[in-house]
Amino acid sequence: MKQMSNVCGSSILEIDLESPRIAEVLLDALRPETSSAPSYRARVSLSVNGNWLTVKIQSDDITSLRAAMNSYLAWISASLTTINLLENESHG
Amino acid sequence: MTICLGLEGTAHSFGAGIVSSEGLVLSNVWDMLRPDEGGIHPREASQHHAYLGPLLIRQSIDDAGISPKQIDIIAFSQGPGLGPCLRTTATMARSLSLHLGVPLIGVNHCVAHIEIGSLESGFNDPVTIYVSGGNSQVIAFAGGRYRTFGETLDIAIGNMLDVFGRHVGMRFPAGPKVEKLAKMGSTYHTLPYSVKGMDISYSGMLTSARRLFDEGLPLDDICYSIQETAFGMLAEVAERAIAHTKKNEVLLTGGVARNNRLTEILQGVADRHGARFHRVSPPLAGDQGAMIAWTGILQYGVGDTLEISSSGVLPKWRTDEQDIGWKE
Repeated sequence: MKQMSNVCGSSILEIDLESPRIAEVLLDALRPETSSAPSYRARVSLSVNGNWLTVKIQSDDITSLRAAMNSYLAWISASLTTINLLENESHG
Repeated sequence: MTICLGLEGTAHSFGAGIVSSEGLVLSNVWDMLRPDEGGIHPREASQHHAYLGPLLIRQSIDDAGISPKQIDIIAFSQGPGLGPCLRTTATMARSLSLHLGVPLIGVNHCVAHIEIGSLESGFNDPVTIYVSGGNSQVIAFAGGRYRTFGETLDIAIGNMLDVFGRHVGMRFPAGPKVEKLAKMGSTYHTLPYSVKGMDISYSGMLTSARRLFDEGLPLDDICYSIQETAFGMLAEVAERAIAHTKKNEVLLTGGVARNNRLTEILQGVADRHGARFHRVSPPLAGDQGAMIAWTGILQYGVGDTLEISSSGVLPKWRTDEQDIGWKE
């Protein structure tokens, strides 16, 4: 039987954000990107469990797998750094 | 008083600016990606924004002399622009909006260039010549929207200058170097002058200019010829828009607005029609956060906010696709 989708690779990123609130913030901030184009080469789903944010990526090829991983990690890093810099400023 | 933090990140530059509802620019910081060679690679630019964005956001807050809690709105450049860059900026903006518990506003980058120019000039209803690396448009407000009276059919004037610059060995951005060389040129060489109705085309000029360089003509003369031809085309379209709309204000905005020869030519067009003329100041000409913040305040004033779930980026968002609810 022919497969409906061709999954070449998958990746699961699990990140401890040290706070359930921050995890929920990033979940909501990232969610619109899971439906933005181009999504035909990589499909992403997000979930949160306590402090942990999980990013599951399935892709049709290695290039798009790597690109999706890089993108989500960059977005998470940028958002987290921004929040941390604000927090440091407010406590400083 | 309402305070807005605006994030700009549509292409090569990331900017963070803070503006008050009184129209005061409290801070405006940015950084432009300048590759050692070649043009702007979207993924490299998005990485630039992801790395420097948080630092610039923090600096903008420090420069404004406020605490994060005093920020009432987060505005971001929702489009048009390069997809990876837009998405990086949008994600940071959403995170800030959620973390601070304040509304999120998606701003049209082109509209923001017009609005910051209007703020600075005090103009109410100008014909706007908006020229940058990614856009070349002649715009005027009519029927509730900023209408594109004329635009490039292929490449923007800034892009044309940058691609030509790359061909002759200049680093990005090439515009300032072309302007400097043009001042030393004096022999005009005919280049394709392509105005089609109210629209313009620069791709033929680019091809021809590259050929002239390859044939060994002096670079300063080629740069002089490019400017006189390209700017003349813009002046023609702008003059026709002024005559048609009968508006008495002319605004020059966007990164290429920094060019003094273009300013001189358009000042002359405005003078011929008895219109007031304003060229945005250099800090507000290129891509920066203050224009996003000010436009965010205008949109907030008419309730134009975004749900986080509906804040996906719009890479092909046209100037004339947004209802301008804050203007009559």
